[in-house]
Amino acid sequence: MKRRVIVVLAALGGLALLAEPAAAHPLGNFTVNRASQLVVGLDGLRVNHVQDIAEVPTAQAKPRINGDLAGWARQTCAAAASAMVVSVAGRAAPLEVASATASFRPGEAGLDVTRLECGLAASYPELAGEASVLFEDRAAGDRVGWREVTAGGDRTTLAASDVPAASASRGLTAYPPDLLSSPPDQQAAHLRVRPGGPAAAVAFGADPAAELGPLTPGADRLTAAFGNLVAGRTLTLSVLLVAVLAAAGLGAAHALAPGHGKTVMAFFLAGRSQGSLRAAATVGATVTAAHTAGVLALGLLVTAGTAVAPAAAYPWLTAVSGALIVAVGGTLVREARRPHGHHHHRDAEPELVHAAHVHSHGHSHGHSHGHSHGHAHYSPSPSRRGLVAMGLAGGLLPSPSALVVFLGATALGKAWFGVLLVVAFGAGMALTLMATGLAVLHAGRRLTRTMRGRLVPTWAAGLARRLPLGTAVVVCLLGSFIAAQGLSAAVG
Amino acid sequence: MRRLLLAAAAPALGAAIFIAASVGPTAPGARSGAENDAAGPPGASITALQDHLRRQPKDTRSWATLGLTYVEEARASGDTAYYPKAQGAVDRALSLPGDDDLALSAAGALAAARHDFAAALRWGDRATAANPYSAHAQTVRTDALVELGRYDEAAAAARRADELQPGLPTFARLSYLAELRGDTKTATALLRRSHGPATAPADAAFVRFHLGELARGRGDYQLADREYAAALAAAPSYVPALAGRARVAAAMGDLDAAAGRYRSVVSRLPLPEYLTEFGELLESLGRDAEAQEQYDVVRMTVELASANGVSADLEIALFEADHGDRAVALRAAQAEWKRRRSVDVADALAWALHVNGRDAEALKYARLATSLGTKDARLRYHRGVIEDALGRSADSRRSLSAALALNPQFSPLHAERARAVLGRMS
Repeated sequence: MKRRVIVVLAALGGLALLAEPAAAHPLGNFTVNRASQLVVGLDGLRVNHVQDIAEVPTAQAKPRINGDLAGWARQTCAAAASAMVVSVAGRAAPLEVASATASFRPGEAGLDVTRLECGLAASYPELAGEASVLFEDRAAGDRVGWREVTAGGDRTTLAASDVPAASASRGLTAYPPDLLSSPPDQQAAHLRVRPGGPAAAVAFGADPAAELGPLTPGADRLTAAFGNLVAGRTLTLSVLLVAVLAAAGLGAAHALAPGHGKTVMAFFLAGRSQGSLRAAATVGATVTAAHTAGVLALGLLVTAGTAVAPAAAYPWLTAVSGALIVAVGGTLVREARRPHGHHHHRDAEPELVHAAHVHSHGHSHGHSHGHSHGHAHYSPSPSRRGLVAMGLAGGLLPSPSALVVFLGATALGKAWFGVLLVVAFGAGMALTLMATGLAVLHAGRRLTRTMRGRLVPTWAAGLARRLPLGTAVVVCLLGSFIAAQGLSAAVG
Repeated sequence: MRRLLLAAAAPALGAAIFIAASVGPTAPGARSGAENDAAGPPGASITALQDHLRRQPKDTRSWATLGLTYVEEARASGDTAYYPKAQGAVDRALSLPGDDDLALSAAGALAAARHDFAAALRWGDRATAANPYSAHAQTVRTDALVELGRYDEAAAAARRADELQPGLPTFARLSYLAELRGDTKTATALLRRSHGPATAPADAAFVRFHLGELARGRGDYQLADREYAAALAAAPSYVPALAGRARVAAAMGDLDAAAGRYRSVVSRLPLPEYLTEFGELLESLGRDAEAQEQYDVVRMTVELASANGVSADLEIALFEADHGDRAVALRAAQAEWKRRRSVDVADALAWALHVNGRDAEALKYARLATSLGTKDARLRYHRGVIEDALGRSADSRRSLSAALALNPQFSPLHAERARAVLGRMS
């Protein structure tokens, strides 16, 4: 238990050391790095086997490749498959090559490196009860390098596993540069499998962490930590508490990473001065709810084995989230441009600046309580709806880390724990977003107070007066940017 | 004699394994023994150190030990991923307040692993200044001084280290120094004395491999093969011993077995040394196209090493002189001679001068290379060929006969050439 706590804490600390994108040869020019992802089904085992082959071994292989990379990939995958020993319930289940691809990538000193991907499969009689699954890659020891085995169930549940659920290198695409860890040397997996469980989290040939990789810097570390956490047989209260706190902390840290609508949130909240705490709470609650719902929905889609791969869903969700932000920003712009008497004053009285603030928010807020929204003179944008939309935009995009955590917990038959962690994660995210927004708002108020009763340069006052419009425009711009990003990823 | 540095042993962390003469960050070089109280397999102590440092991140000496351990692990496994980690650990150790001899020694060991022997010596001197009673500092100095060709100082440092903390690291270094002087008896005795039944498997493999090399050097291939086999029994994936078995198979005329073993060696650890030897074996079998494949890989690793800022001039010189560009060979050898003046470098420079037709100068360096009395067939062979080119038949006959008497099959390619020259002369 203590160990698990340490793992979580280490994961938290590890966020400072996020994995860097894979450099040409982070692991040295001699290495052949290999990862085998096992997906244990009811009547068959799939092995997604990847090799990241550095410059020297690539050069050694070139005479044998001799221009026919596809042929070489088939041969090499066949050799890899024949060196792997699989036994299910005590019976050998030989692996066959289902797919084999290889590609060259630029390495150091103008040389090539190779990435080999083998889809391997073995079949066995349908599992009737709990069974042991043994896997061993006997060729792994032949070359120096990173050796990784991960395992998950597909409509089965791993009752016991001595390997992680998620790849620490995101399928050999990013090697964590931690000073205090050695390259893993996993060459075998010993599993106990029970029939029954959600469908595999990902389509064959895809590693969840690898697939979500670009969206989740550091997800490997996090998921590895949570994988260990949820894999534990016994969940004591203290482990539970630590896990929930850690999840919240991770969510908070996660929201700090760029691209989580935090800036938008800040600008949005900065635009309103009254009832800001309440507004922030509304946004926060919505973020948490939306995020949890999003993760659960996506998680269910994925475990149901639908064609929706998370990687495909993300760009669209990003686009929708961006569009939502643009919509909110649009109403803010309209609101800010509405002819308020004070806005037309040319003199730079700080009070008026302040008044302008009160106007844009006081009105909308006040009216949302009393009357129907459409009735308001100044703010056609109902504040509550705007806040919820904002929260939705912030939480719509399920954090891939949270998703992987959820899937991991589900795969281990502890879905409730996964849900709990996801909720905590969302709450953590919401806290960061709210805190950032409030901090910006507070700073804005100080600025206003400082200006009041003091002669300030005309430009500064002008700036302050245009703050609502400015923030609204920024919200719009950021929204468009996010939407464009999502769309370009979805289409490209 | 391609073995640049025998003097590596790590009884402490059990990571004594050591890759002889190589290009790149997997290069040989010095090692200093780390803390002697850490026993057990290298993996275990690395894990223990890592765990400890997660809890006690300000423990300078543990960071230094971890740095040393990473250097050893890189050498043992050939996995260069450990070098950046070693650098990180050493930087951490050095960034903490106080001059710590272990941290400075670790920096020295890392510099030596990267072939920067002058820097390694400076670190060793600083470590000595920080703690005159540090055995680590003396072992780092020993290794640097040997590679710089300052043999008397190296011997003094090795003796000092042995007084301070006798053990496998100091025995191995004293043994290597004896071997360089041609005193193979003492070299063998020291190695034999350095290990016993309680020796960790990795250390046992290291010792048995070098005993095998000593036996092979004097032409006792049967004994050599037994020693290599013993090394492999202790550590089945110890590549140097696999290479040793390939060498003795070639020497005993079992060329097919030798080729098979070499293929396995270069697929596990494609070091230039092994690739070149394999290429030469294939060439002697008339399989020139395959030989060329091996040489192509050597050229590439040399490029990689220089792209990584690792000095590989000695290896470039010897390889290019025999199989590549003579002008490049000479430039590389001269550059290395400017940096360090060991017998190996003298030999490489002599040979590079010879293939460029400058035999008069070459002889001077060939004599330097054999001046310690090292019983290495290749050194005598190079000298004999140079003497022959200068028309000094009597000298040449003596040198070539000595080479073949020492080790009749020192190389599948060059032993035949030596015999051909001798045959032509008689």
